[in-house]
Amino acid sequence: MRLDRFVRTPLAALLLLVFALSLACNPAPSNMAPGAPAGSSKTSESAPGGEVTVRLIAPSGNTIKSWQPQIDRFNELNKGKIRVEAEAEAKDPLLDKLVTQFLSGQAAFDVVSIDGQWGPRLAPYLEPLNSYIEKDKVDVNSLYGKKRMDLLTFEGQTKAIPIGFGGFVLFYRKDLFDEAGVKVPTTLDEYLEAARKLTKRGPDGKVEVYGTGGLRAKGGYDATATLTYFLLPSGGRLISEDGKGASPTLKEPVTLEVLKTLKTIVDEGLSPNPLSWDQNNDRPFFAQGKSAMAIIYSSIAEMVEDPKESNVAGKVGYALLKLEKKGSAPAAGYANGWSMAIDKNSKNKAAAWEFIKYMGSVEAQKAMIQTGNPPTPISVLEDPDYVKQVPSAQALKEMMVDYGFVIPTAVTQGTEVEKVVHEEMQLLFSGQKSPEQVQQALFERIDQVMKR
Amino acid sequence: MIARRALTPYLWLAPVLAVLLGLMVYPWLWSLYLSLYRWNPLKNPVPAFVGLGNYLAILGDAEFYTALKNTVLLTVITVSLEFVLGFGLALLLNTNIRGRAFFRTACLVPMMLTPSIVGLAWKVLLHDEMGLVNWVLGAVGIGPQPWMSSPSYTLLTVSIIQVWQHVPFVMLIMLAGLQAVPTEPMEAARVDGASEWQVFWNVVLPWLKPLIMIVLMFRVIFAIRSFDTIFGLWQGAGPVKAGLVVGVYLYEQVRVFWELGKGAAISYVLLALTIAFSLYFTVRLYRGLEDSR
Repeated sequence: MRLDRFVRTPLAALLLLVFALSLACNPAPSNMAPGAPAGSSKTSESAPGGEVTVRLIAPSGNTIKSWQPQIDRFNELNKGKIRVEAEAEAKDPLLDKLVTQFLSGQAAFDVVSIDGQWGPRLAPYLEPLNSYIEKDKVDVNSLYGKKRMDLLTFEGQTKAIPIGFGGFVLFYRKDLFDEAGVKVPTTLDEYLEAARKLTKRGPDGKVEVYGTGGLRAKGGYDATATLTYFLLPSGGRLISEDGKGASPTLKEPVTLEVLKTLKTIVDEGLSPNPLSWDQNNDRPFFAQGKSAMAIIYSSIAEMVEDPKESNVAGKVGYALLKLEKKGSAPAAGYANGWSMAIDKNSKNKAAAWEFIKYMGSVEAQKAMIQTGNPPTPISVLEDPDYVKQVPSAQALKEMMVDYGFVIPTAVTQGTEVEKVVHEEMQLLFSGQKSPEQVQQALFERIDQVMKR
Repeated sequence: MIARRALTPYLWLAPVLAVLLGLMVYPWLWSLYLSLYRWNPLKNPVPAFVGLGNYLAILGDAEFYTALKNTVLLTVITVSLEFVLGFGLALLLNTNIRGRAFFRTACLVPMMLTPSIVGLAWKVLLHDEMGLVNWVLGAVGIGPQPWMSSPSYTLLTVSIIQVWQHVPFVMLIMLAGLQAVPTEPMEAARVDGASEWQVFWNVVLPWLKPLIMIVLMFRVIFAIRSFDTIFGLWQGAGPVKAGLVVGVYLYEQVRVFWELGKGAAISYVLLALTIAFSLYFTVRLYRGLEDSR
């Protein structure tokens, strides 16, 4: 039959109708409607026979690797009752997925992983856990520390449980420190002096080993981290205690001293150029032996001590960077990590809570030490076995239990604050603004952002 | 019978139209609607109607003008270089040089790569400390350059990469055009005593004019929308925002600050810019075709 005749037959009309109906009934187009969750069109549901499926979205990379064995263990222990299915996503796309899910009102994932900085922004979309905590009599403040739980409590409602929480500590080359006769710095001047002594140059003047890595200003997160690594232990802050403006410490001499020290380090070539530097450069750079010290997330010690991935395994010391406190705020370290929360639209909240409770338990947290997760229960942090097993454990424990810690931009306007710090730090490092100008601009602009 | 005949083609087109409506027209209309609202889901789940407020905010934002300036600069530099180099390569490959087929294929490789992968690959190559390019420059005595960290190198870095990637496109189109130029007018001109340069300027170039307009129009449209390469290199606007173009400005508003309404408005501003630039070429092309009739 010729094509033009076929086109006019009733059979062709029928095929056309079937095709059109199949398009209309296909669930795929609903995923492309605004607000529809990416990657999944179904919500969690109970399988026949009563087993509840709980869907978890977790950060990819080392985090999900460190969590997966305990997810499998939970599934074993709850066989026939609860089954957890995990999906991993890189950090930035993870936030995209979460926001899309929350706006759509469809809880494609029952349990969501929350970065420490996201808490204030995502809190309205999360299920309050107070009733679950009370029902099961979990003393979260004793278990994780009141300070950490305060970071996850919004308007009196606890919204998440901390699962992996680490701190940024000083990684330093013990051998190079001994060779140069340098000790772990306790003041900004000592840090600068140490960086000078530790920088090694070849006969052509090219730097072979930088005195310090860790100065980063490529992105907003990097620039904020670089500034606060030194500002927080010195008694400075970015945001006021009540969260309504910039911190008065930004106008204090301590901030100017920090800015001047960082600028001097860069101007003297003691660190790689921060304008193109981020933490993805910094960690392997230190592991290759190209910087003598760097401020790095504590759980990266596992990579640094692995001879297959690092040239400096066995040569690294770990210390909490405690600087002379010159500002009026309490000295603190920079900490951050992942917590788990329940989407308030989830249909499996009880099962989701059971899973979160297990992952935050001492049993699971102890087991996850082996897979590189920084533990959250205080008792695990204080366990002598933990300190023996993990090279950076002592420094992390000191920060979490004794010294104190802050997530500097854990506010609703966090991204705008990071933008301000990013722009000003880049202007500082490129020489377009003086430390004094940057200090003034930081206070004025952050104050403006917080008051909007 | 006649009505059924007239209707049948449209019935067959109906599924395609339905997909187009669903995947293109509906999102367009929805984003236009969204551009009239201020909506940051991380601050307030409920959008607030602001009318043209987002557009006015963009026009009052100094960063937008920085982005616009960088976009125009990048477009002019890259399109000019792409055209000159691409046409030059096409002229070369239109001669009977040895290995012509191999060179033609090799020249096409950059064009086949995804722009975001190009950005990531060049990020590794151009890394100030660990990149291959600086290692080579050091080995030949020139010394490493701050490709990724100096604001004054930023547009140069982006231009080099974009020209490298898009010259093959220009080369391909112009080569096809050169091979379609009829030989008789050229031979006649040579017989009349014209030099090769006169043959090129007075015979070949006028013949290629419509093709040149099309190539330039395509390149301008894509250059105005630059984003992938810059984002692949810096995951942002580059050192001291030296690489801030309208595409990156849009990305930051939507993806970093979650200002969805403002982001939608910027996309329409970008559309207006693209239409304005391409209109020039379209009108020139149309007039050229009219004149030749």
